[in-house]
Amino acid sequence: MLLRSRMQWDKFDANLTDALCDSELGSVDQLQKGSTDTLANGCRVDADAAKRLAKRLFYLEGFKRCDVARHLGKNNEFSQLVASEYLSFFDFTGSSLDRALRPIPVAFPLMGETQERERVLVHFSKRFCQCNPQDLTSEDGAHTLTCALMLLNTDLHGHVCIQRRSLTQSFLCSAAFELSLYLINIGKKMSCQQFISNLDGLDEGKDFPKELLKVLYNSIKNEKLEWAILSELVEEQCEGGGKRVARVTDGNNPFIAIPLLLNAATYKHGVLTRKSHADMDGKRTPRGRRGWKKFYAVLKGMILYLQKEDQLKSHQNKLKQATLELEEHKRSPGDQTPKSKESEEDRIKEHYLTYEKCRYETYVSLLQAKLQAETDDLDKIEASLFRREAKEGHLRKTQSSPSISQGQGVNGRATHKHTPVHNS
Amino acid sequence: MGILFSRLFYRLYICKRDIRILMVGLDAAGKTTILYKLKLGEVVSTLPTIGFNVERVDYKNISFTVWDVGGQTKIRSLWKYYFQFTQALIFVVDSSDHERIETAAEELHMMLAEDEMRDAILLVLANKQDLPKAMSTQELTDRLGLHKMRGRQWFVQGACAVQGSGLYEGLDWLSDQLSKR
Repeated sequence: MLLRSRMQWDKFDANLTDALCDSELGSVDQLQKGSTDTLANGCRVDADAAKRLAKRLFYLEGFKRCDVARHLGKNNEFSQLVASEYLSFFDFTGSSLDRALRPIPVAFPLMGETQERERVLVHFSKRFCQCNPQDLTSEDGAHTLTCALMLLNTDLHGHVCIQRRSLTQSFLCSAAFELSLYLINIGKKMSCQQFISNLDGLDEGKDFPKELLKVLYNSIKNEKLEWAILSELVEEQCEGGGKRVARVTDGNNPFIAIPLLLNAATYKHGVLTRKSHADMDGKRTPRGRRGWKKFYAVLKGMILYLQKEDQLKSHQNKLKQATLELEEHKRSPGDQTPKSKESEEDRIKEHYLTYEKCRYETYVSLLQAKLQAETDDLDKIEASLFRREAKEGHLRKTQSSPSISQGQGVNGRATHKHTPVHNS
Repeated sequence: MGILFSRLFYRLYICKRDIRILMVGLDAAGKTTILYKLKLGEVVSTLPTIGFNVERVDYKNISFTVWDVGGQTKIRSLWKYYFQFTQALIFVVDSSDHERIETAAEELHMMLAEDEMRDAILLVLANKQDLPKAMSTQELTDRLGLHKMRGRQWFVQGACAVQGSGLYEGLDWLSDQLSKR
């Protein structure tokens, strides 16, 4: 990767080489400019270099979107200079805070720990106040609000991202099929009232105008913040011949992990008879039922994949079960007062069951689509899925297309139809 | 009967399974390393969470939701909303950082003083035990003023996040305590 960026450098003018900043050395510039200059006028050179780097980051000259945050979020003076120069390319004049914020994560994905993300956002808030001096909120106030919006976005929409990842993931590594789907906030999303009271007194001791908070809340609720194209990140991970993309564990000991290699050689494939010790959900098979079963097996790299035949049936059963439970639950009397703990639990349970039902529906339709398409190619599976949906005349919310098309690029092709099993 | 059973099932599975834990600590204490060490089973990815970081760690039938609580004091108050559902606090401290141990202690007590945290149990992960001048768990207990605390369950676990040692022992203690509740 470094090598590749270096090669891109060569395309640029020789005088640009002073900004060899793709490495972690944020301010190598100064050294290359010649020491006398730096000594005589260190600050100016720093500022110039920051300006140049910011410009190239903004126009993505030799950088990728996912490189940007790294250069803006470091806790040093140079990085802060670059960040404020970078933000000066944006004009937020007359925008509301939410509207001003939206293009930021589209321009570059915020990465890393909350601390680092916050450091970048500080510069956004500064710039916002610069562009809107007539606004009543102070810089600190604007910053608090910005962070509150990010938090709200995670709260309201965050699980979608996690859900997507694990959905794709579990579809790919069937061993984890049963285990890896949970909602982050079961039934507990931040309400507008909670959003407002959480911000009580945070505008330097005063409250923010309620109307403003309501507008901001609804803006994020109705339209989540868009993030820079994830596909670029996926691409990035694929670079270097698909080295170490994912890991497989046996679930018990996370320290024994085998890297999944994309380009691992297939040594052998064919029918294999194996005594089953574990059910599909990873639980041990009861002693009486441990029979020998035939599997279609592929030995690829370090991992032996066993294809499941009864997966579809099992999920159809689970779907039936969940549907039944949900119906029973809905029929059961709700005679408690609406605020009681019991009814809250009931509500959460209903939410959970609905979710489970939805989950199995997704599994079943994905599997059916895969069987129908008779291929490993995820694009084809997806196409087949959409044909089916078009026929059925509806689109389910949980399986919006990105859930299949995003994460898949990395490890999909290698693994999505098999169960990884350890060779131990 | 069916309803009773499913309620029991639900209590076991949902109530106990979804546990919210806050993990805090000064910068460079090793929070991220710990989180990723624990998450090793999942796809190693840099796909950013939209907004701030929330990670899920599954261990021993308990699903831990870990919020990465970072940032300056100014935005710290924003996290208050999440404190109210928190059953446990993991405080990560760099055992070799003699200079900032007082700051860490202050931070810890400030955190615990929050009203929403009054029922939370406390696990201190004394990280970086492999470093030569690392303080012992005994010394850390004293310097963090843990003995002075009243009415709170706490536990100090020596750990080395890079090697992964101590983390699971700590989580074992947590899940034991939480399942007793």
